[in-house]
Amino acid sequence: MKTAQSIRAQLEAQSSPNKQKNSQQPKNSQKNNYHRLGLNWKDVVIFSFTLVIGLTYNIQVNAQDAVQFDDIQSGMMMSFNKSNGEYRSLKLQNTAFDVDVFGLLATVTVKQQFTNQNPDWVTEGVYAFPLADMSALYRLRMTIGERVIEGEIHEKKKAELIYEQAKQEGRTATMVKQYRPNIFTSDIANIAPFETITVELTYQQSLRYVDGYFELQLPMTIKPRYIPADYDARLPMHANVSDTMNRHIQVHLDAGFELDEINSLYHEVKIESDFQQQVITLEDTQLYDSHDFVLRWFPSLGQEPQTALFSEVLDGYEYSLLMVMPPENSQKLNQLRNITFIIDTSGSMHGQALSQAKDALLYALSNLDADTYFNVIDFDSNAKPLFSGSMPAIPENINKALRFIDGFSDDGGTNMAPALEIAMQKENILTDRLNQIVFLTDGSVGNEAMIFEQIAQDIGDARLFTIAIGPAPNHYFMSKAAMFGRGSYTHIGDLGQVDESMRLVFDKLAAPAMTDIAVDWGAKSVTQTPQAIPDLYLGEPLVITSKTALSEKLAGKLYAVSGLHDKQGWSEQLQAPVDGRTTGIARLWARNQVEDWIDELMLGGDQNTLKDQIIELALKHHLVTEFTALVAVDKTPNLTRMAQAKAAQTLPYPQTALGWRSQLLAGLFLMLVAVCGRRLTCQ
Amino acid sequence: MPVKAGSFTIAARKRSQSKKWSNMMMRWLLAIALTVGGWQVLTSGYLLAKAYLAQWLIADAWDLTLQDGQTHRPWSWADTHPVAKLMIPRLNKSSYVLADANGRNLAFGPAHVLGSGMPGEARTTVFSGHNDSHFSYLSKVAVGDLIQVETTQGEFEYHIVEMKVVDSDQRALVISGEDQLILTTCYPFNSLTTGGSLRFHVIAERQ
Repeated sequence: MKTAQSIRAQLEAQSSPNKQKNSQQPKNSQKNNYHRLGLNWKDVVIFSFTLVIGLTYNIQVNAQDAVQFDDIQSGMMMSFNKSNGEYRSLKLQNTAFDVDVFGLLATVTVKQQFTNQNPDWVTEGVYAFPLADMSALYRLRMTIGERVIEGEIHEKKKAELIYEQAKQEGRTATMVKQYRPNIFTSDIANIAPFETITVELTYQQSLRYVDGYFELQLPMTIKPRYIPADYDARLPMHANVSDTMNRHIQVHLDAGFELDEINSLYHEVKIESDFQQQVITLEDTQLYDSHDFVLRWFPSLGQEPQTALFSEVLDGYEYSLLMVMPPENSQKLNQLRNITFIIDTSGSMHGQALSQAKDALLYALSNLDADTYFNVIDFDSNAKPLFSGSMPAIPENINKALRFIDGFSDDGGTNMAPALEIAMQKENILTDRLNQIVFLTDGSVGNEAMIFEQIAQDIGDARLFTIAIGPAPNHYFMSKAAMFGRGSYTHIGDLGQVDESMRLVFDKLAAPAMTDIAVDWGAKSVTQTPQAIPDLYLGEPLVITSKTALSEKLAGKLYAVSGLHDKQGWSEQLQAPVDGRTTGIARLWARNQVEDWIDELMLGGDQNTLKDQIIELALKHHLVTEFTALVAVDKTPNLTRMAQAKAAQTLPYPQTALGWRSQLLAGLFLMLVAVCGRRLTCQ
Repeated sequence: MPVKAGSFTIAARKRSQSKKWSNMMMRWLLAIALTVGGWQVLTSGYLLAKAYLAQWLIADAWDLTLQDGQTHRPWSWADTHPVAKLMIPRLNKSSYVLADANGRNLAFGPAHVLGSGMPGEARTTVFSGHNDSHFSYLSKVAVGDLIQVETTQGEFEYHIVEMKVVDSDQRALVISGEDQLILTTCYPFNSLTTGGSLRFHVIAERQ
């Protein structure tokens, strides 16, 4: 009879393969056997997987200098690879900026030189340049070897046709497009190996005035190229790690006003005075840059408004740029105001937007002087005014207003017309005061035409300031309404910024420096933008452009600007130095005009007439617009070069590895595993 | 005690059954590994055998072509024919070049890239071959080496002027209007994987 012990031993002998040898120590048998190789079968499987994966793992040698379009921070020339959609940058040799500034108008000419350092033709390349806000590119010129290619403005369809045709014929051609609002790109076809290509472009930019200075920014940032550590030295070093870049900057600054200070934020510059203008030159020309070139100049502000005038005569017309600079910020102002706030409290304002708008409104109310009159209108589906007519901002009324605002609830639709109607009623308009209407909404305007008519008809002497909140308000309506109301339009895209942005608007509104401004252009007839001249506020210059036929001008008459400043009449006569040196004013006027027409188009103006008008003006002033494009084609093609470019067809590389090695290795390995495994399990 | 012994036996039997089961699984796994492994080894052998044996048949076809100037298929079901013989005297290596460098033809020998020129024409000639068989000797060539190409138009001599590695994801083969010869193969040599984007690129020019 078998003991339980021996049965157990037998059973274990059957199941554990190497049992026999170690039958004397049954308890330890399994452990010992596996330990001979230090493995169990799971280990074997895991190990073999690791090995196979390890063997097939390939260290890819790849110079990762592909360019992301969103990274473009300065002018770049890139070759484009159709097969994988990658852009690679060509070597930049030189950058030169030449800038002319007249008042707030900058004309920037950039000249950049690139070399195709690869022994291959670049059949398709792209030049990209980051273009600042409020700027317009109008000239493009390329020099390749001894040939010059000049850009031409054509109607969009025609431009595309010209470009495609030139490319097919093997000619060098480029086409200017807008990749994003702030990056313009130009396609370049057929650049020969080792050829140097010079790109020269000119754009016009309107500069901003904030916190007491004008600022000019030139894109200079060059990112050092990334070369991976495992870069194979046998690979040709065509990726130039150390582009030795040369750069030059010269700014001719005619500010139009006395300056307190000129200052370059990140670069050493040399500043020289030359008659009316300053010449600013970059001192160090060799370094890599992690900063754009930023130049600021501070006009010295006086006790009274100041004016500056720039004029240009072109084809029988005089184009003028008039700037009115507000007095110093510390000025105490005696302009009496009556302000009406119209606040949208419809359901869509729910949450952050309304609570921030409320905060801003509370801020505005608590900062009102006691001699200011005010009213608040709350609207959703219906309009509900706080007072039946404007009331003085005495504490008692302010408290009523605060309680009224606290009671705002966010529901109902967005019905603007009744609210605007109440604001423009005679109870809310005071004749001896500056009447400001602040209109805040997040909704789109449905019955634009009707509301527009209502405003145009009833606005009278009041000023309308529009504030739009959120991503999709109707910009065209809002800005046009503000223009007609001689006010301004503010768009707040970020809901987190409502409070802050509104406070800025309210602060500005509290400080009107000059109202009822009129300009006498000294001519029988004139076209000016904006048509209705807004008021001058502290901290913000007023800009007016005009166009006058020379034949309409009254001989010997000076320009005159007049207005109401500090309760008194103020006027100044000016004469523009027509020295023939000032340029770009005509183009600025044309740009403003095109913008007006585009707005009109959006408001439902006659499509065909407006389009034709825009195209005609754009062709005349070299403007890239919605309907026109800039295309540059080589006019003097070199025949052998054309043949070469055509011959420079590219073929894909064939796949040239049989791959027997990996199969052999994998096969041998699997067989080895099988044999070893067999030995372990079946002994 | 008997109760205890009985329960012990049932447990042991259960354990022994599960061990049998895992033992069988293991055998199966090993058998599969052996089969797959063997098949892989045979396949790689077949690939190599095909690559080298085919060259004999291609050589015969090329001889016929040289005699009568007609194209001859190396074997009756072949979809290609030899168009040139490539020789590198310093390495004592030679290969027959087939028409049209597609994956199937390349398995039998180096091939001429369609769209490129042929020696004697004012156009770049491109021959491609596998780096782990016919063109493995390209790893040993040097600048200045003589490359002879025999075609139906005669014999042409080229000298290597440049060798480089290019990334085919970034570049394409550029065919220029000069009588030059480009030999390409995959890179790196002796790599275990296929399908990489790097290519070894030998440029030789007429002198």
